[in-house]
Amino acid sequence: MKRHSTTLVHSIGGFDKNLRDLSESHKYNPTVRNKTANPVDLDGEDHMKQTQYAIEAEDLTRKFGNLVAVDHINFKVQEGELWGLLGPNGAGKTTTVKMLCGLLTPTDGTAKVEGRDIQKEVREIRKLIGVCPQEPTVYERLTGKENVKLIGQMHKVPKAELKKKADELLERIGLTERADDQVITYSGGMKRRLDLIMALVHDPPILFLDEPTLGLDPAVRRAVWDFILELKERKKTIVMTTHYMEEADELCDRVAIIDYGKIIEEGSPEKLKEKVGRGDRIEMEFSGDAEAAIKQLKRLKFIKTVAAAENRLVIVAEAGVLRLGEIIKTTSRAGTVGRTSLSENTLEDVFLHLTGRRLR
Amino acid sequence: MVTAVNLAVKNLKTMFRDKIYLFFLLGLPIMMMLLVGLAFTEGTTTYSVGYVNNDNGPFSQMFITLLNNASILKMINFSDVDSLDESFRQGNIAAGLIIDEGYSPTTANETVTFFVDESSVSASIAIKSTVTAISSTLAGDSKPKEYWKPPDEPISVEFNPLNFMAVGTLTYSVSIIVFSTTSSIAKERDKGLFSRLRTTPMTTLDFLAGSLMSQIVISLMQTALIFAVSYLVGFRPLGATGMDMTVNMLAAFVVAMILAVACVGVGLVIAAFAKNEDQAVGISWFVIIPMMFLSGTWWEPQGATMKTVSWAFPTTYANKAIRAILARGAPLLSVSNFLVGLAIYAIIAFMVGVAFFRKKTI
Repeated sequence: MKRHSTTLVHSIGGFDKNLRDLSESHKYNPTVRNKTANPVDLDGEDHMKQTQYAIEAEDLTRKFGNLVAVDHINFKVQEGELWGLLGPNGAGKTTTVKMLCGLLTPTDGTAKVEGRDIQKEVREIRKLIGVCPQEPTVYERLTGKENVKLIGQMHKVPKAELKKKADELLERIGLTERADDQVITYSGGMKRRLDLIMALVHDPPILFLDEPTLGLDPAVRRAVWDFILELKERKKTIVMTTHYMEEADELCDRVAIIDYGKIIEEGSPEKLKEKVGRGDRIEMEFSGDAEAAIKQLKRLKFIKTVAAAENRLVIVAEAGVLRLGEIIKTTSRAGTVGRTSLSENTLEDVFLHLTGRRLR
Repeated sequence: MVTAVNLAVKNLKTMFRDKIYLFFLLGLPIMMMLLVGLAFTEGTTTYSVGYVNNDNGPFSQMFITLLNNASILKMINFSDVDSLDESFRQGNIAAGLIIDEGYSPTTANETVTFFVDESSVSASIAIKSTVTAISSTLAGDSKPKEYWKPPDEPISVEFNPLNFMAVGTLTYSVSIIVFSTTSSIAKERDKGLFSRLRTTPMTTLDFLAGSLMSQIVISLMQTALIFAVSYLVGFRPLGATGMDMTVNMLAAFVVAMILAVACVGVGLVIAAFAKNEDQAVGISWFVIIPMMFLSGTWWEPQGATMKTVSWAFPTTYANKAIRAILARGAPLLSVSNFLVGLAIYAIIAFMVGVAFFRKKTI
């Protein structure tokens, strides 16, 4: 399932270099890590219990007036893991990240980042994290290089080291030629890439990437994915929020699905998809008695799951390609079947299965 | 401290690269000073003052001669009070003097009637100040006639409207810092830049100190530019005894800097309460304009109530201090009451601003 689009990445320019070279050249690290990054066994719960956690949340809750944005969520993120928070807009993803970064105080519960309490040791935590906010957050009247340097200065990266790092990172994302131009002249994709390296200039062990590819065109999105995967290779602990199921599927070691402030399922993308049922995914437009259609389809032995949403039926079936005719015939007894498509099972199906709604 | 300096440098870069900001902070004051220069250049404005001299003794003739020698007054003789009154009511003369028989400098209070057209604030200030000054000079220690208000500080020089307006332009320019502070902070907050910086080890105090430093640099640049442009259009600060012009100008820089701190404090309070940048800009001008109109920036506040109200604005203290120093040649120590008042205002405003900003923003 994991794939790299090398051809596309090449087209971005400079985005295809191996980040490990960069990592080796970065000698400055403001943190003394007392834990060793462990190989990530994503599916083994027993193994997880023995590992060190970069982030642990316990009953983490945040209310805004009567609105419960984040509702007593519990999760653990291993060191070196790429952990995704997948959910629709307004599910509580950004609020969760803001609490972990110390930008919002929890109403209830708590969390620890590298063993430090997010309420009591927020200053220490800020030395350990790099944050890429949801919207491009850059000073438009500063140049790209000045923006990168500013964040480095806030982290007190020594001057000579900072210059070197800024140059290297800008080269890495293909912005060297535009490094001295004011950001106001950059495209949205360029700003997003700049945003990412601003989170990296002090070489933090933990990264928070809040919807890192929101609004990007497919080519730039693919390039950003590649960049994130390379960060993962450097054993960075990454917490990434997204509402793109394919992004979570492609990048994340483990995914927590959040809806209305609650984590409703957690596991590796493969495990989550298994829960819905292995097989082919058939999506069909349907008008008629959906309940009757579901009832009849469930009688077929090869049907794994059936869900109805927005005048559509989503069916997961073993060898669905071969049995498509039978499925359509059975469904037609309860109504009219329209356009039908066949694909692999996705996290979208998991979300649909869990909530009865689509992610987007 | 290093972090705050880095933030101040960042602020200055972003402000200087934004043409709209640059216009408001530096272009507008320069333009205003040039306009003030055009409007108040020495020699171009004279006020006609009619008089009836029923005394015709040597003292009264000397009084009239001295008034006529003042560059801003043109004395016109009237044979009787009725024609003087008629000319005044027609607007041909801006003021009238009736000197009774038996005039001497010490009896001016009983023998001189003086009336001024109050509809022109600048004319009335200029004429009153000049006549008062000359009358006082002639009378020695005697107080001038009660028809006109004595100046805040005893003066021995004639009123110069350009000096008055130049100082007003300077304090107005510095007061724009309320806008630039409010706007820049609200913009950083709106765009998530402040939040992003807060994910780093930067503290809120670093952020606010950076903002203060950059605004003080701006205020010093504004002051230097205003002095340069005002000098070009004819403003000549007056040196106090034993002090040269440079010392007096440096003293004015100190006052401008303290005013800048007070304005940053006011700006922080507004930024704390404003919900977005647009609201912040609107509120800041809602504060700057009354500050400009009621604190003696362009004219002295009239009436006891407005004089009391004027002390609510930091520009009042600055106007009085800088005018005393530059327009009347007073040494810095002689205006220490205004300086202390301004400094206390600045400290309180900044502390309140910081407290509100922390409470409302974090």
